[in-house]
Order: sequence, then structure tokens, then C-alpha cells
Amino acid sequence: MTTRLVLEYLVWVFFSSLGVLQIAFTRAGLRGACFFRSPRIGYAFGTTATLASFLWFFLSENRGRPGLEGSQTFSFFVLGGSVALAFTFALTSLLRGKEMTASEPGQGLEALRQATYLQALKVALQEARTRWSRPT
Amino acid sequence: MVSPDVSVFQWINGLAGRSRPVDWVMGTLATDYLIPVILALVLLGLWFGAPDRDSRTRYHRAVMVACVGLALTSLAVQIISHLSPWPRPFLAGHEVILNPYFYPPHDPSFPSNTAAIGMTVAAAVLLGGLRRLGLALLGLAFTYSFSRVYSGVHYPVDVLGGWAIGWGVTLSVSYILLPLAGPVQSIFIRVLRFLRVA
Repeated sequence: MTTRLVLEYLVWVFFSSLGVLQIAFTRAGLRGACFFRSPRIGYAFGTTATLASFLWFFLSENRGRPGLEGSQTFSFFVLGGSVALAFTFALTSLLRGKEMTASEPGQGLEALRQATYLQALKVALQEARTRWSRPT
Repeated sequence: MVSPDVSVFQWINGLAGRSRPVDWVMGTLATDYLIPVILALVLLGLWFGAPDRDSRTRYHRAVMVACVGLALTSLAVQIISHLSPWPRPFLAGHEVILNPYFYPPHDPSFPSNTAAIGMTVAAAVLLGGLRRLGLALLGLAFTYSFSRVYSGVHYPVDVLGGWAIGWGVTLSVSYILLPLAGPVQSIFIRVLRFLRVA
């Protein structure tokens, strides 16, 4: 395992996950997690980011050599994918915080139809605090 | 007399070495990265990409079956390959054309881990009722396995063994393990729902 391969793999997974997440959030209509207002631009961005990252990773070098073990491939995928998800939530919370102002977003992922991730999480924490502090 | 398995292997592997671009494509398809990452990205997209609440429940179940299935499939492959360590074709004395774009691995040949993981994800998606995507993933699993035989690192029987393990484990997870683990699954989903990621 070389550090360079790990870094390249992480960059590839990050950008391809970022692209797939944009396609998924756009398809699901979860506007609070979409970088763009227009679904067409969202799909175009997602497809481009995913394809470009694949082309970069496989055309830059022959990847048919021993490198990462199966468990490492999986662990680094989880790491790269999680960072892409966190980045998506952070960026959309910054970009779309002012236009998404739902005071009562739905439960779970449904909340992201009307709120950004940080807004939805804030409401979830407030609800939990209210439930726990309520006298029985 | 040559066994049918070796005959099929030699026929598929005999296609290698004739065209550099085809060898490159097959070598790239056979890598440890391309198809496993595509499968993982499909699962990531399924988790977040459901258009409504009903589909989301179905998609989440398929992804959970696939993830638990992948862990158990890898374990089953490890155990079986240690119990019967079959050598790779190029170590068994058969005539093999090695793909210059793919390395020759030295771990046991049977069963094929790559075939098993491809089949596990395809089966989980098919059992989740996503027929078109499941069939596409089945095609991907077939391509992945074919590229490995083409590159001279697996016999067809390794692939068949991997597919059988993948199907068997996924069926067991879907119909036995997950229903038994209902309360744990429900707590897991509730935590993720609270965190707004499910």
C-alpha cells in the first residue's frame, strides 16, 4: 500500500460520491441538499463529477497492480464517501440557509425537502430536548 | 482428458493477448477498484435517491441486505478458500495467457471473491424489487467475473462458486437474518432518521 495510491483513491471516491450524491438528492427532490436550484444542472454536475473522477483515476495510471486489500478498499470508501456527504451538507447549509426557512420540516431525510441539513438537525435536537425535559 | 472447467477457461483466456486495447479494458474491469466502487456508489445513490417515503423504505432494506450480505459473503469466501486452497490457474501448471494490464494474485483461486461480491449486491437489489437496476448489476457482476477469467486469474468454477455463495448469503440475510434482527434494525434506522440521514 502506498500513500500516493491511498490519496488518489480517496480523491476519486470523494468526487465520485459527491457526484452520485447530487444525482441522488436531485432525483429524490431533497432541495436542502442540492447545490443547484435547477435539477438539470444538478444532474449535469453529478454526472460530470462522477465520470471525470473515474476517467482521471483510471487514465492517469495502470490500476491493475496489487495495492489496497479488500478491507482497505472498503474502509477508505467509507471515509471518502462520508467526507463527501459531510461536505455536501456543510456547503448546502451555507449556500441555501437563507432561502430554506421551514420551521417544521418532516422527519428523517424528508426534512431536507424544506430545510438544509443544519436547520433540520437543529429542529431534531430541539424536539429531542423538549421530549426529554417534559415532566412524566 | 481436460476437464470442462479447464476447457472453458482456456477458451476465454485464449482471447487475451490479441489486442492491447481489449486487454487494457479487461485489465481495468478486473481491477480491485473499478467495479467494487461502482457497486458501492450504486448503494450510496440508492440510500439517498428514493423519490418518496415508500420507495425509501424498500431501497434502505435493499442496501442493508447488501451491506450485511457483503460482510458475510467475504467471511464465507475466506473460510472456504482456507479450507480448500485451490491454486490460481497460472500456478496449477495450465497453459495461461496473463493479461499484461493485470497482476497475478497468489491467494487461493476458489471461490472467486469478486464474483461473490458482485452477485451479493445484484441479488440484494433484485430481491428489493428493483428489477431493472438489479439486472444491470447482474450484468456488471458477469462482466467482472468474465474479465477475471479472461485475465487468467480464475477458473469458471471459481466464478460459479462465488455466485452461489453470493446468492445463498443474500437469500439468507433477506429472509432469515434481517427478519430476526428486526428490533436492532429498527433502532438503527431510528438513530439514522434522527440524524436526518435515513
